[in-house]
Amino acid sequence: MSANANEYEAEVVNTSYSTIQLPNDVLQAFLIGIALLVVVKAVVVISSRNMSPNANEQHEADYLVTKSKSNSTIPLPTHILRHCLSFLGSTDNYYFLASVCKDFKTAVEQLYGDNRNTSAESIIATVSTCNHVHGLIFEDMDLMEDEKMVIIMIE
Amino acid sequence: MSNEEQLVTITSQDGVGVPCKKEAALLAGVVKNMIEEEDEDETNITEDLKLLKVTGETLKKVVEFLEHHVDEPMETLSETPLQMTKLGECVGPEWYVKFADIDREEMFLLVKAANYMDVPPLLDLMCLAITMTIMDKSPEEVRGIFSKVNPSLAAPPQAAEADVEAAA
Repeated sequence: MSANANEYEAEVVNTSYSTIQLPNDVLQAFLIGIALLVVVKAVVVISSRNMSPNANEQHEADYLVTKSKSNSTIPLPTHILRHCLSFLGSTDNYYFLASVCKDFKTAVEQLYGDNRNTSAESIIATVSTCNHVHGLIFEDMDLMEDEKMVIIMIE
Repeated sequence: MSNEEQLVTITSQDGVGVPCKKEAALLAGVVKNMIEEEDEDETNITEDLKLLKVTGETLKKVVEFLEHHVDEPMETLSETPLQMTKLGECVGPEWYVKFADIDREEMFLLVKAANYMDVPPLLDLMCLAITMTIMDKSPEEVRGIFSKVNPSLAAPPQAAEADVEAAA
């Protein structure tokens, strides 16, 4: 390669280099932007791990299945469980969970103030009202699987 | 000999024989049926009262309850939904509160024995005691309590289905 050619190449390089050279403040802003993007991305990933119902359920499910397999030596029959829970509300309705679950109770209190009587005969008289209360809870909660299970059993 | 003085021996699944006043034993539906069958056959009622689903330790506790219940019946003051948060506030006399002051595993064994032997007062007492342990608990806490004893509550539906699929 000739000396001219080398000079030419150096010029090209210099020229091309000069075209992408940015002012320091712009470059700084660009780098800050990238850093922010990385941070935002990390936050999104972490929050999606924590908040995603599926991911959370799967994690919880794995834990619970393992736990139940290792410890489930004394399974209670459903009717006994129901008998236990019936003390918390009227039998043959599935609203007794209000007494069990803090979040459910909070939701009931939001709707009905100080009235904590959750029997079928009193404040929660319809399934739609119950669903409304559940809606309040599910807005903030991903998992209430034990309640769902009990409700399924009672139904 | 009157029922009050007569003793029967109830044998557990692991072969432990527990003597019990007949009057008290009759409070257990299963034992009562056995005794009535034996009476019809005119055989000796002190033999062959074997319970296939109750261990010796649990049976001793059940008999202890039955004999005390004959002398001093349990009173339940419960109205649902419970307004009380302590067992002593809805069950009397005090002996029953102390009787139910046991660890959770024993509690579950007793509730199952009461169910199998058909002893409604003991079933009520133990179910009340269990209820007290879950009152005002969060879903996670309730799940934690029952997951140790009840797989159907421990595993969410998806996990249960996955288990079934895996087993298949």
